[in-house]
Order: sequence, then structure tokens, then C-alpha cells
Amino acid sequence: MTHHFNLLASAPKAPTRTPSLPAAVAPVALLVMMAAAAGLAGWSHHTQAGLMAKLAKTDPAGAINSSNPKAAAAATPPPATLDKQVLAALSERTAQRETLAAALQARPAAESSAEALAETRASAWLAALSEATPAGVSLNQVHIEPGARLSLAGAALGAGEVNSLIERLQLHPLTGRAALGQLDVRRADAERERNPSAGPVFSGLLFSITPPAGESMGAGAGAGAGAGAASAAVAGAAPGAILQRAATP
Amino acid sequence: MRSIKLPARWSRRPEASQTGVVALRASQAASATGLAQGAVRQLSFVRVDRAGVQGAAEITQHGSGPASRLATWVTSGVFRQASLVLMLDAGQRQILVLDEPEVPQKERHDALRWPIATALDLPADGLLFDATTLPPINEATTRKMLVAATQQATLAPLLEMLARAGLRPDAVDVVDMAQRNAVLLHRRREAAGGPAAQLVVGISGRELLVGLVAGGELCVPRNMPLPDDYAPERLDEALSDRIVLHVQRTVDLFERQITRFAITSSFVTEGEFAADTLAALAQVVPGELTRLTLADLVATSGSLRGPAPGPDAQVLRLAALAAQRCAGATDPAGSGKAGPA
Repeated sequence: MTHHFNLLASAPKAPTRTPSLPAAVAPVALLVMMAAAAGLAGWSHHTQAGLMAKLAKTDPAGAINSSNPKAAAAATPPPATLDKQVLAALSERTAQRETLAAALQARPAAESSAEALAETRASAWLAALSEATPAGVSLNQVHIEPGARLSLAGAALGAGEVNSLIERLQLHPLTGRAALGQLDVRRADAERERNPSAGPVFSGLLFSITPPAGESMGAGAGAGAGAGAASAAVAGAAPGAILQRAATP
Repeated sequence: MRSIKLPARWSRRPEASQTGVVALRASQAASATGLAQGAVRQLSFVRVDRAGVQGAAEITQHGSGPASRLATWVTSGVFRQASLVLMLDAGQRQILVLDEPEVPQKERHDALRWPIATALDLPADGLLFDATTLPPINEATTRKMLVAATQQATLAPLLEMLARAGLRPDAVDVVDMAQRNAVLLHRRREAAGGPAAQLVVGISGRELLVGLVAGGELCVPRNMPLPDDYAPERLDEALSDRIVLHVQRTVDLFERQITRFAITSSFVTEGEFAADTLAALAQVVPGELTRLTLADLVATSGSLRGPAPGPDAQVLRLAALAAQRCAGATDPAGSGKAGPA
């Protein structure tokens, strides 16, 4: 049977809510995903704080920004140990970014051609991307649309650098871990058009992590059990779990 | 954001007396949100009817012109006894692939709205979308869904324009499905069968459309933005190379990812690529590169008044959208009820 689309059939009928995502898993897993993503340049502390505040308001039914205090109280908050875990991860990523920025700034521009510098920065971005990947989860696809605006250590990658990155990712898919993930970096055209003066923008980061074939990723399996497991739990509990934000430094 | 109210009843069921399908596209100005908004600039349509009760679908009317022509078309009976399908172009819709939510069927709609809004960075409440589960293309256990989405602010001016002319669309579809339909209509003439997939390449607005049709569905859209001033006749070498490179990389990507289908043939819509680009594309795509032409997909009625449609890819896509719905469809507005691929 061939499916025919009809976008008219999707009139919003009820207040938007998340799908049947176990409330105890969603905030925890997303926080861990955020911690991983924070290793990538362009995630401001402001954005992280905003998202954390939003996640903290998630009630057991999955409704965002619930005004029901009972429901909010009933939601399983992330354990204190996880807070520390998240903060430690954030701190580690920040340190990595600063080291990377220092290394890049220390490199005399005259030493290398523009291409070599682009290559270096693309490599650094790739390394940051790899670092940001939760442990135990690998990327089998990284897709960056030409024209995407990416930033590294707070500085925008130039077109040559993005192209170099695209080349490298296309020719050398990330290896060394079991292939079970997928990560898309979508173009930031819309963001750029909306706010042209915003400066460097890390374009939408779309995680879509698929559990390995034959492996069951039960709800809650990842809560507090490490970044990789938590990420997989997101996928298991709500395939299509997405963390995407166009963050403006 | 300005709130735009849509008509209380957005679509209607097709009437029993309807014999044809009219596919209509309406161009709008681009907006800062990434999806077009605002007044309609240009309209074009293709009407397809069945030749007799069991006959093949054929083009019976077509036309294009400014939005002011709509009233004339209505008066002349273009839309009489036909279901109306509005086709959204590249700038009017977003297309993406998401994991199928593991929720009961009745919750799927709600389950999709949030991730779509997040992925597109658009307000969830203003989203209009449809999705279809895709056939598995590799050994991954998670099923994928193809999602097309737009926002009320994009659609509202179109619906208002149609309402002023006394029209209500039965469905709103997207250009990507027209690309798919073109391949399916072409394949119907072949001995289709086996796990074969087809690469299809075209251009809509400022977007290069590259997709894979497998198992009768558009499985992996991988589109690329084009410059505002893109025109095949003024295509510079660098852009041509970029297009070819994107297609080549897409093919590489597909061949790495897809294990259940083999890409056996490739299609390109007519009139959208310069000869040099076509020659280069032919070198990098799997199988033979076939140009999709209107005559290969849908016959033109002998009773057609006025000139026959020319080699225009937009006309081809409108015709493909209408013909595939008309070919076996009993419910052009519904989902999954059309005839065989």
C-alpha cells in the first residue's frame, strides 16, 4: 500500500505533551545526554541551565511545565549523585574545550596554510564530537549539511573548515566502538535567518540513538548507570528521543 | 508569533461523484522561520481523471498563473467533481526521518508532535504533519518514520485563498511524495519486483531533492540547499560539482546503510539539470540514469483543451501526485488507501 500524506489530518487537539516516556527516565537520561552534548562547543551555561530548569518541571505523565504541584512532587527527581555526575561531566567537558581553545590559539597562523588550519580545526571538532559521545555509544553516521554553521570553543568554523569536516566524516566514519548510534547535525539555516546577528551558532544537534540489534533497552535501565546506558534508555523508552538545540553563545 | 486561525473544518471528504484529482501548488515568499509564509504569488495545477470507469489516469487540464486566476479556474470547472490536493514545495515543508515511537497507535500522533517540533525548532502547537512508517532498509531493529511537517502560519494563507474561491482541499501533500510517485508510476511500467530500490533526484525551489524509494516509500530523503539564484542554464562549474558530489556521497551513504535493498536504477526529473551536470550524475549513480518525463508517467487526454503540458518538472510532480492518488485511490484524503505501487 502506498501512503499518501495529508498534513491537514494533524490539527492540534490537546495540549502538547511528551509521549509515554517514563518520567523517571526522561529527565535523567536527557540530562546525561546534555552533559555529553555540552562537550561540544556552543552550549552556553545559560542554555544548559534553562533546559535543566525545564526538565525539572517534568511531571510523571511527561507533561512539560506542569502546574500541578502534586504531580511535580511525585516526579522522581534525579538523585543527588547524578547531579554530581552531571556537574563533573560538564566540568570535564569545559576543561577539554578550554584546552582545545588554548591549543588552537597558540598555533601561529603563519605556520600553516588555511587548508591545514581548517583541517586541524576540523580534526579538533571531530575529536570534540567523539568526546561528547556517551561511553558505550558510537556514531555510525554524522551528517552535516553544507552551509551548516558550527563552532568550536566558541569560535565559528569557517566554510573551509566545515567542508573539511564534512570530507573527513564522509570518508572516515567514526570507528572504534560498536556501531549503534546515529547523530545528525542539521543545517542552521533557519536559525541563521531568524537571528543573523547571533554570531556563531552550533547548529541543531540531533541525537537519534538506536539500541543495538537484539538488545532490549528497558525503561529505566540507564538511570544513573552511566552516560551510555542512559542514552540507550532514552532510545529504548522513546525511540526518536531527540536532543536538539540551536544554542547561541 | 502571530496566531492565525484556520477554518473550523479544514478538509472535506471526497464526494461520491468525484472523478478526478486536482493537484495544486501555490508559491509563497520565504520567511525568517525557514518555512514560507504570506500571500500566494503564483499558482499551477494539473487535473487528472480516469479515462472511463476502469481506465488509466490521464491529464485532462492544467494551467498556471497568478493567484488572481483561481476564480477563473473555478468558474471554468477545473475543480468540479474532483478532489483537491495541495502540494507543498520545498520551502513550504520540512521533511525528516524519525524513529517510530514505541507507543500505542492511538498515541502515536501525540508522541510524534514533540520530537518533530524539537527537531525543527518550531512551536509544537502550530505544527501540521503526517508520517508513515518506512519499510526496514537494514538490520536495525528500530522502525523509522518519514515525517512531513509544516506550520499553520504557512498553510493558513493558502487555505484562506482557497476558501475565498469556495474551495477546500481534501489533502495537503508534499513535493517529496510527488517525487516518489513519479518513480512509482514509472516503475509500474516495468516488471517491478525484488528488493530493488531507486535513487531519485530533482529540484524544488532552492532545494536539491535526493531520495531513495524502497518498498514503495521514500525512505531516505537527503536534501541539500541551493543558492537563491540557482538556474540550470546558468549553473557554474563549482555548483554543478557540488551537486554531483552530494549525490555521489549520498549514494555511498545509502550503499553503506542499506542492506535489504539494492539500488538498481536512478531517476532525475526532467528540465532541472544542465546537460553537463546530467552527464556527470550519470557517472556516479547506480544503474542507468533515467530522465523522468511526463509522457512516461501519465498520458495526456485527447480532449485536453489548449497546449499539452511542456517539459516542466513542477507539472510532472503535480501530475504524479494526482495520478498516483487517482490511479487506485478511493479516498484521496486518506492515508494508505491508494492503489498498488
